[in-house]
Amino acid sequence: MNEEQFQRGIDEFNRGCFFECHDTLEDLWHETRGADRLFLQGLIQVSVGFYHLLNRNYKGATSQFTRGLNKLEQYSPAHRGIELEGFMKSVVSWLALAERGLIGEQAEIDETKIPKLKILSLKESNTWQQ
Amino acid sequence: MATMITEECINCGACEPECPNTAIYANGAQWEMNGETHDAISADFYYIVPEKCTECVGHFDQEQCAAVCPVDCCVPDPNHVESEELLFNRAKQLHPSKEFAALSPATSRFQKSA
Repeated sequence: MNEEQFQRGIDEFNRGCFFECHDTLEDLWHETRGADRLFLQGLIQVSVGFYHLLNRNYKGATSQFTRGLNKLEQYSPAHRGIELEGFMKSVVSWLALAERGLIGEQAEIDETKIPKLKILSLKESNTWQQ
Repeated sequence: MATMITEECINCGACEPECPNTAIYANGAQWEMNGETHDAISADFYYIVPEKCTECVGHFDQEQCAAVCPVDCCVPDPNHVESEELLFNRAKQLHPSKEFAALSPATSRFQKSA
């Protein structure tokens, strides 16, 4: 996997550039086969979920969060140096918000609370792998 | 046609060039068939023209739009279930100058599951 492209996608996600993140990781996803393919797709779908949520497309957000979480689950607690366990817990709470939006309960969206993809240090990565 | 694009579409356009029948159009774009132009079916998302979709029967073993869509928004339309025969006949009508071999697992998803 092209690490530079992957890191760029992570950076775009963390800057709240969810469409750009999806674009970057999509290019990578098209070229990737094997174990990382579903991982990338899971990240793309979570990113798209946030894109939809910020556009108040609750149906799109709900579906994408659900699909993304289902894919990322198998990679938890971490994969490719990215912490997933805490990230996914946070996404689950955003999924709940999107589901409430579907039934008309439109909550304030505090974008500062959107989780970041945390890059684990080597030591932390080794701890996860034990 | 039994493939549709849902509102999860992010308008990235990955699907459009993959369609062998040019059945996919961008949101708001007019669509064309047999020299006639028609109003866009969707103003918000990419859309698939029902009259031009063959679920890739005759061309590939799976819907190419679905294969390249990272958000899985090209999905079977439960309200338009069409038979392999109907889809194959449509493919022949859409490509009158193309010679289609008998369907095989390489050119029809129906054959794969048979």
